[in-house]
Amino acid sequence: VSHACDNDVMGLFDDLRMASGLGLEPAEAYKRAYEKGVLLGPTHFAVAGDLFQTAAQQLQAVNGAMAYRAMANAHVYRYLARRDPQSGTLAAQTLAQVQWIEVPGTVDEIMEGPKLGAEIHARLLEDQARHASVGGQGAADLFRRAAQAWVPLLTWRPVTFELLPEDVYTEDGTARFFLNAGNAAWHDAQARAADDPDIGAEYYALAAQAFGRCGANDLRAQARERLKAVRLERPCWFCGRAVRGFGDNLRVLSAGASDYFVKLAHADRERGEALEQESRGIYACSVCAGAVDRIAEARAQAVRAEVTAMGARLTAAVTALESRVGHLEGFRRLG
Amino acid sequence: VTSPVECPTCGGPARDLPADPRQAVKCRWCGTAFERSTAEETLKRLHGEIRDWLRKTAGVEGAASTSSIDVATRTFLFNERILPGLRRDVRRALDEHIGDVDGAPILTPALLSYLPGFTREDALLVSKREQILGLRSLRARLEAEEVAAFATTSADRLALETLRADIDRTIIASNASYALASGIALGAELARTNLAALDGSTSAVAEVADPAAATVTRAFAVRSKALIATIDAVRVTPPDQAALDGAAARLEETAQWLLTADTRDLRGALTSTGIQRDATAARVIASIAQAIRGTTIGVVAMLDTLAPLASYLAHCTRGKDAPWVVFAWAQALAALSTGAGIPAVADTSWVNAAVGAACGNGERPARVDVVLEPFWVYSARMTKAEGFFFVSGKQYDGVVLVPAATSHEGTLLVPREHPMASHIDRALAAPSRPGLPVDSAQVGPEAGRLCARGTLRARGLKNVVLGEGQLVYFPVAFAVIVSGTGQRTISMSPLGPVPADAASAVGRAEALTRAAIGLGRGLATVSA
Repeated sequence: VSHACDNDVMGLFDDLRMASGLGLEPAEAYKRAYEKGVLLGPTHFAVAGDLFQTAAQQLQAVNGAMAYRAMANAHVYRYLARRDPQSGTLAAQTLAQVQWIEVPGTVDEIMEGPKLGAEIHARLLEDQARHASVGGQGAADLFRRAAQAWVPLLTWRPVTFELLPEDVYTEDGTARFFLNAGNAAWHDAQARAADDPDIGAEYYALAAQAFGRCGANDLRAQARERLKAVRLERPCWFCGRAVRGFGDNLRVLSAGASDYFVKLAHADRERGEALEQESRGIYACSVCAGAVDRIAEARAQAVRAEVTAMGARLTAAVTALESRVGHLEGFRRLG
Repeated sequence: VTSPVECPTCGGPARDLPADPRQAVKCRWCGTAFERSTAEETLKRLHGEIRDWLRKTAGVEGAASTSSIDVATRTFLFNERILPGLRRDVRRALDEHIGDVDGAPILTPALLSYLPGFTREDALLVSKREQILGLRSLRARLEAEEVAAFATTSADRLALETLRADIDRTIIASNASYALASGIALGAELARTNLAALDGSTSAVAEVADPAAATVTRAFAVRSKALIATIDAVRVTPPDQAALDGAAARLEETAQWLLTADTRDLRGALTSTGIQRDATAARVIASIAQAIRGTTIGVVAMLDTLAPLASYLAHCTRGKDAPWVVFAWAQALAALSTGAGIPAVADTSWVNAAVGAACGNGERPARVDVVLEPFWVYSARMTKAEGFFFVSGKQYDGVVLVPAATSHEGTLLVPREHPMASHIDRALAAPSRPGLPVDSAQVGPEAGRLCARGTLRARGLKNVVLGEGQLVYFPVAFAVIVSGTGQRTISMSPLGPVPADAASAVGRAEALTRAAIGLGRGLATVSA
């Protein structure tokens, strides 16, 4: 009974030490980072980061290699908790020097440190590219760099996405490569399609295929739709130039063409292509359509000016009439 | 009789034509039967069209009048009128009307027709066959003497050759794909002829026109050779497993190599998609060969048996999952028709007790069907919080089971120390002959993994890390329980109730059994 009681007391004492972190050996401090941080799940990863840092300080004096590993874990879990570039960069740099490290989220599964570092580096570049795509500056190059960062990990199943499932298409490095390559191509296409529809079309085709390869079917459908539009080449109804790129360089103007024009279009295939048969509108290049817009705008402005002047004249006349009516009312009241 | 006559369908050169213009011959490229007289009439019509086009484009009446035009004028007309028009027509025909043929698979067995990357929209070489054959008139224009007379410099001639090579490559690839889509055994010879041509004929032109195209050209050569190897390996029984695995691996490596060789090169990346799709198809075929190893079934017979069941692949949204799902079908079919083993937990002694326990007052089982249902099994590592005052995290090992048949709901978690974990290990180590009807898998290990992770997280488990998925069959009892007020259906597994659609599962198992009987009958006929 006395022995069992001693064990209970020791167990309680150990629990207290583990709970408070006071009086722990360096190896126990490392273990505590798992029990009070990592193993409690992603919501405790920030705590785990701090606990690993404490363990690293204690390990420094007794085991330099383990201290370095603890520091790498501190950066990894801080990055997973905060997703900030600073922790991510430190994690990637430290992991490059650590030969083996625990698989994030587990105590006893081991993986190559540089591989985890490469994964975190790739994710950092992805984060950067995503921020840039919101701002619209240099996103294509950043996505391309992110895609390149996944090339050494093409057959690798990323381990950090398993813990924080905020992203999709994460089954392997190939899926990540294609998601980023698709995004790069999409941004390139958007930037180039107006100036060079052929290049724009190639980029949209690439984006569609890249999105298809990673299983992003919605994105693929969007890219295909844009590809179809950019590849469309029709003669302009006004100037007759063959123009490519619906949306950027080519528009359909409402025209209400009669059956006679549809017949003409069938008879002369080349020029007839300027008629959009479904809506009976006409294709116009952006220059001609722009000129039509400007003529229409000028005419609209002239009409607006005429209407405004007319409105002013009418308002003045109404005011004068109201004034006269007021006077007449006054005379009537005076009797 | 040697003749410059071309097939009126695909434009492939015809040789050794019979002297009798009415005698039908078969095109060695597309397999269409035609008479010499028809081919000559088609050529005549095409030449008429070319003369009309030339008159409209350059204002000349044919070869005779072209020779009277001086070289400078011819060069001017070629570069200002003829070549831009041809380029526009070729690009429009290929890009606008057909699509990204380089991203399309050549190997398109009917079995894959429901899989992303192999649907009608993706399999352009087959679905756009009519438009592709329509390229013939453009090709005739590009090689017409009347047009060539305007190409006075080597650069001009190369420009024509490059356009022609693009069209040739598309037609040849379509011929191969179309032949294979009708069945590997039926279309093997035609496909081989076209793939061999694809390997060599267009590469020289492509490389001269653009040295950067050499990477893509080399990849095309590997693709053609790997596809020929696949075709050859499945035509023998037993199939040449090493050749099939090798061909699939070569295609996968080539697709990856194209990506990493120069990821800025669009053509490389675009072409890699078509090759990757061929790699998936080749991997599916290799997985069938793997599943039927040790049996007398041939890959072609298994492909034919599986093709009508292709719609079940619609649930398989990941290309990576397809070889696994097809492997599962082929394995189940082989087991049912030849008695080969599958990894199954065979014990059904619990069924009576479980169904009896499920019956309430006044209820009785009216019908019980026991079917071997497929489950994806993953070894799992997870953590959870323990303790009240002294909360700390603990790590657990277990086995996760995800239904692979109809839906991937109903994830089951078995602790490592549970006896069922040992049963699973035994089933995987020693496959056994199925004594029950077998249902077919419809979702792959990747889809199952996503489901398992989601379910375990929803149960409050953290840091879930799953191993590789393996398919194991468990007996599931579908019982119709009747009472005075009506009836209800329950689905029970050795681990308790599982969500499953009894009618669908039993129906699919019956379909698989029928297919297995048909396959077995075919085998009996072959052996007789």
